Amino acid sequence: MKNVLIISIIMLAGCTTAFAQRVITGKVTNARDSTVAFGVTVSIKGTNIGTPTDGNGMFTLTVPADARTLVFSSAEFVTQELNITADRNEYSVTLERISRDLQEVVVSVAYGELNKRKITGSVGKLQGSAIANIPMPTVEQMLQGRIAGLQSVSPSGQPGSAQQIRIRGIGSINASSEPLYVIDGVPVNSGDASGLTNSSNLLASINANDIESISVLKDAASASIYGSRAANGVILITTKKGRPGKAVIRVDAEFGNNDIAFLPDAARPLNKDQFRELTTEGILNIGGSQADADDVLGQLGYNTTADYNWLDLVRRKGGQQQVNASVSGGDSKTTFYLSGGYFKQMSAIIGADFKRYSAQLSLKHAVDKRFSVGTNINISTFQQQGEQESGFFRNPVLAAMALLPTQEAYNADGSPNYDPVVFNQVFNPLAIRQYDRQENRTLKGLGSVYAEYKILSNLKLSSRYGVDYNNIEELFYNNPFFGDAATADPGTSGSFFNNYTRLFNWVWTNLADYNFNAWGDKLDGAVTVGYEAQKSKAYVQAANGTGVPQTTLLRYPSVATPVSVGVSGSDYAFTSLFSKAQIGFLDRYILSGSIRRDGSSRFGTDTRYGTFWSVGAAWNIDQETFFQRLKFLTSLKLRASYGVNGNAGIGNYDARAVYSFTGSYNGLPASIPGNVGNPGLTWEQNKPFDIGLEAGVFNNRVTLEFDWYYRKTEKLLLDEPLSRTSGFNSFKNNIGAMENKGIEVTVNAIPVQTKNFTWQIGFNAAWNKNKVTKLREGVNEIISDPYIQRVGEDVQSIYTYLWAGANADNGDPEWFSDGSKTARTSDFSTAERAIYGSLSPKGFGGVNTTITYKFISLSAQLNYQYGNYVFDSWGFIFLGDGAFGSLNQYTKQLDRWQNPGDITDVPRYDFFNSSGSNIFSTRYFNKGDYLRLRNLTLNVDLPLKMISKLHLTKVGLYVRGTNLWTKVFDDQITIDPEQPINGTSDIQYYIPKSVTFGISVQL
Amino acid sequence: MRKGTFISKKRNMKTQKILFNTLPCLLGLCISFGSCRKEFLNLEPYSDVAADIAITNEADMSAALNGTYATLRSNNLFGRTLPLFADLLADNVYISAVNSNRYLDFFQVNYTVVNGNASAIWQAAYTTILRANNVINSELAITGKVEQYQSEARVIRALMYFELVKHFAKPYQVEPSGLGVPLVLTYDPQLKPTRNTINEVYAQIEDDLSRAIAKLPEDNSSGFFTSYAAKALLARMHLFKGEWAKALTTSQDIINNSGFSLLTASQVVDFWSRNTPRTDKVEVLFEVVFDAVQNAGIDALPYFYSQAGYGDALAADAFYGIFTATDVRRQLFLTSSPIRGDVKVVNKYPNSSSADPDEFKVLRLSEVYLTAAEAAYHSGNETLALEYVNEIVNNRDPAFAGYSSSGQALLNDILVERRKELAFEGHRYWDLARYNGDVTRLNMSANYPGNVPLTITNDNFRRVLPIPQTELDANPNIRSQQNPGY
Repeated sequence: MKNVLIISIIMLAGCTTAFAQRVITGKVTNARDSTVAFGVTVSIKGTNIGTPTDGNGMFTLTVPADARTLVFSSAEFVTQELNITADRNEYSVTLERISRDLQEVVVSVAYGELNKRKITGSVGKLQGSAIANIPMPTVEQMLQGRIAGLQSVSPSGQPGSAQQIRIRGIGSINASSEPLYVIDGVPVNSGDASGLTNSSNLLASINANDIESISVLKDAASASIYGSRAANGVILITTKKGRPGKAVIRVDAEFGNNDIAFLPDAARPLNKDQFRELTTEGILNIGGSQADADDVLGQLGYNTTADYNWLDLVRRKGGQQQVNASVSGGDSKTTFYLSGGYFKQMSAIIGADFKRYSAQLSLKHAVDKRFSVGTNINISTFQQQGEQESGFFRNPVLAAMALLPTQEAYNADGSPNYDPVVFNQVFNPLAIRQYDRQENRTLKGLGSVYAEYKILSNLKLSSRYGVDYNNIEELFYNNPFFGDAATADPGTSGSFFNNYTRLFNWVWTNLADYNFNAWGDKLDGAVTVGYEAQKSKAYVQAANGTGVPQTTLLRYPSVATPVSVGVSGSDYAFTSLFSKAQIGFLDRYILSGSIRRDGSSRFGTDTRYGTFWSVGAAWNIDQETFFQRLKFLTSLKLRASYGVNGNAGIGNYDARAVYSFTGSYNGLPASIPGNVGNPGLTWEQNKPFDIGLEAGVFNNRVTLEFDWYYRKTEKLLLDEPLSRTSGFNSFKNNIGAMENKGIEVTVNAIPVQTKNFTWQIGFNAAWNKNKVTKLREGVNEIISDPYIQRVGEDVQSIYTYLWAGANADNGDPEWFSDGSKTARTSDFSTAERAIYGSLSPKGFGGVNTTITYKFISLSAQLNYQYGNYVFDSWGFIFLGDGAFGSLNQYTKQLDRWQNPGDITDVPRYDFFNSSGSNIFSTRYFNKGDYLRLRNLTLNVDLPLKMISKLHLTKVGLYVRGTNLWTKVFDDQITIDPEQPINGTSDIQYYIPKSVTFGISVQL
Repeated sequence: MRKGTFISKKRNMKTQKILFNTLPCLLGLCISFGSCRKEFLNLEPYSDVAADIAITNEADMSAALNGTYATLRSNNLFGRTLPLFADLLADNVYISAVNSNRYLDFFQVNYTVVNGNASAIWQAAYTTILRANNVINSELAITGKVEQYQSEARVIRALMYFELVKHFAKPYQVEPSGLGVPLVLTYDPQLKPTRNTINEVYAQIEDDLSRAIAKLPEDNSSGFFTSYAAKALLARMHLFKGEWAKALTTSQDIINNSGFSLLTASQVVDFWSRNTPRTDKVEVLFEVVFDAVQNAGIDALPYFYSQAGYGDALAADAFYGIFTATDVRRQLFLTSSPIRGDVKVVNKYPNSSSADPDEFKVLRLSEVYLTAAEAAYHSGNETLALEYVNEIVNNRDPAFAGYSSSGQALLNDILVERRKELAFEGHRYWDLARYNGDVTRLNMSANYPGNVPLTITNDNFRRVLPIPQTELDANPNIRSQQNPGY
């Protein structure tokens, strides 16, 4: 070491004394359109002397006299070297923009990055403009329709709600089917950890504008290294980092509003006259008189002048705003990225708002050539105002459908009316909004510190300690005047719930990376060995009381009657030892392998450890000499992988047979059997096989990626039903098997590319077929009305009574009494259940296109899904043929049978219907096929001439529409076709349609 | 539809222990030392203990017994469904046209094999039986307390089997050898039992009660089973079986020896407005305790009757009409609803709005008197029968001199008095069913819309609930044993 130092000093001294310096200047331009290239790093080869080009593409660099070569490098352009001679001090160069395909050369993969050519697995990727400025609160929402085989759906239209993602089908029945999320190397807690909020998403704290790229690991070769949590795929999120060069300052701002994306015609609420007609008919139908009808209508408010459309009353133009600012840059030793963001979204129905403030810092510093340290820190907080959905009387979407036009919305002074005589069941949502609160404040700190030490140029040790901290404060206030908690006794009227949830998850990862070349670079390889330990601890304090002060001015009201106070906790831990290796010959033949040994606290003592592995191979056919003759084919690659990974997505203590000390009786503590337990419980095993083909033709103007996969899941973590006489419903067991087979196609093409005009079009499509292949020995179906899991059928099969419509003679409901739909019956006890399709789509995907003319671009994304049914699980109320005679009905109810000979699928309307016509049947299932214009954006980049005077390098203006247009193929559908994974509507908030205007400025 | 409600969170038992276990791991020590890796992954739950060590001493057993009592509060048992069923399926209660869609199929008598309430009763009753079994089968050394707790658990088990066999099997007197319900007396989650006969179920109930009566204390809070409360249940069982002599002697034992006193007319309203258990031996032998912390909330029976709650269920006008104006029990009704207008509102449970709602009275001394009267009548002792029934009526209607009827008229009087006294407490339908009589609803003031049956004849298959579809789906052995008609 000492010697090295001395030599360096001598060399340095030699440099400064022996050679003179000179100043070189020049200009860098873009070869395609001759615009200036700013931010390009100009450096002297072999040194760390360098400078970025300025806004005019100019650079000035002091170089030693012995400098021979300048290097021009940037993320956007192909690196170019230029020899300099002693007689010239001015050099101008033009740089080629990196083509789209090549730009993706380096891809984030598990525990590192990899050249795309060397990847043996199936990895979907999203970056750049696809991520920036999306008008959605959560990162996962933008994945829908972008990555082949990835399904991303919102169970609720409330902003900040948990999102559901399935990669290559549903992998499990009762364990989680959600992928693992890894952010900057830290496996994080995802999903919903809230207790009082309708639905909340831990990942909603992440600002999409801070994300550089998202990699979706879909197969064994890419994901198995994550072992016991890889079965449902892995989503790697990489945040933005700084690059050496002039600091780049960027500000983005956007505003707009939200409306309802899709309101089915068949499910609009009836108006005053329509409901009167229906009710009168319904009372006459059951033998009542016109006087009886008038009496009932009077009770329902028809003796007043009130006439409201409740859907209009709860609907609003929900505001949407976001502002993001960032600075990034650095020098050859230190790089940084710093940002701040604000995001706000208000739902199209009153009651749900979301606001986020976020900050991100990424810092990396090279202490010396060998040792570098860095950190990524994300601090953010969001505030969510939510509302109960489903059948809760306070759900404003339920109210919009259920309240009658004759229920008086307002008092004489204009304030919302909450008189319980008028609103004796479903509450006035306007009053609920004014008096009640359901709030969630989540504070997230996601960060890691890391150090890397290069023992040799090709051997690196690194250690990363990451923390994923969430702090959720929730309150739910029910006013004392009306609603759920109002009573006649001020001592107990109104209620106040409070929850504090802390999730602390830490991960320590230690890696050794080694890579090598041999035989004159013909052979190259890399080996990684790692150790990882993780523990996540949840701590929940919950308190509630009744008897709140008779005022709504208090944020944290005291309660007269404390009801309960409790603390609970739930932890899990993983320890893992893993390795991956890769070897390539001539860049043509690549072999890869991975192995991981995982231990998890969730399983039985003897079944806690599992080993997971993968092998993969790729053949870059385009590197073969014979390939060069095929002129139109630019690139061609064939790859395959197989492996075993696991799923540990169950409750933290499901393996244990326990007694819970909970509750009390007569003031004395009580204990109850909590869980059957299963000491032999272990991982669900997923065995994915994947074959992929990647090709590019016409100089990669057209690229294609094709995958065929077959994933077999065994040892399913199934809730095995028990005879209820045992005192339990079910217990978790490793039984059964399931398979998902499918193909994925991604095509990107640039059909037109001229100097001023470019047209890009791409599509991705996936078809998946799921089949349950085994349940418990001797059991071949598990029925949970109206669904079934049956061997040989799709896991989301519908199993219900087959609806036949109304009897043409008398209007009675009819079902089919056999699966082949030949015999009809009005006697429900002879109706037969049968499988009726699935709630999972046969195929889904998206089409995206961008047309660019000079500085104007128009881009669109269209998503589709087909081959599934969606279930309106509350249709039995609104299409109940009078069963809910005091609630408003769907428009479709007007199609009811009226006279002998009427052919219709809506039976006679009997007030207080007792025919059973609204028992769950195929009547409430509709085809879920749809096309949706997910995105339509018109963007204008102001010409550089205009903005360079302002010292700006880029100014973009855009207008964007999200979910502007929806096409359904079943005109009888009563719900939005874009439903949660289980295809079942629960009167949730509508998916929004947004229109936003934005500006993006960079200097 | 339902209103918003939250389940209280679990208690924290073991935080400290866990913290000490994990501290070294947090410091990273265990990562380098394989020896404590096991500890790192051995995470115990915070509020639960392993099932096999849950009952290791008297205090544990007391907690497990309290957990058994606690399920009786379920809205699928005495919290709401059980007492409502018997009044609704009969002629005491109807569902208002303005309703929240609860129990309409009981009211309309059109329930099917997928009926949610039937499956919830089945499930909740067997959940309670599991908890009772765990106490009864515990191998703790016998002490006085252990014997008492196990005996209380036996009475709860007997009560649950009694309710199950009433709801899911034909009345004993109709078909004693018919299919009853599966008898599950030990814990085996994998068991797929078939149905025992009605006889066998009743034999088990009698066995549990007889054993418990021998060991139970005579005195305790009305929230727990005592020997006389168990005897009251035994008397009810004999009445159901038509074992009149045994019903009479058991009732007389309670009346003569328990030290419990009957309600007087002036005590009635106050008695029903009380919302705490008692130890003063007035009237109530056993009641399920609902307190401010643990109650059925908006899923409670009182909330279903209260016009400040759901208020769906109303007293039939025809039933209200049989009370005389001077009958103190008429004060247990309200005669109008702010929402539903001029209707008869059940006000036997007036504490729906208070933090500590009403207890549910399962066994009362008045029932024992009426049982004694009926049993005496069938034993041929009409004088004694009149004595017992008049003991009740004299304490309810000061203007009424008492009954003096005989023969069938006397039996009718006893049964009407039973209907009036035990209304809204879950008796009416069973008092009709055990005589295999039709249910006849009198449609005054259009209480029953055109599509609700006014007569439920004794051959209607829906007089017995279906074995739930969920049970049939999970238990292949019971599939061929569904009740006829479903």
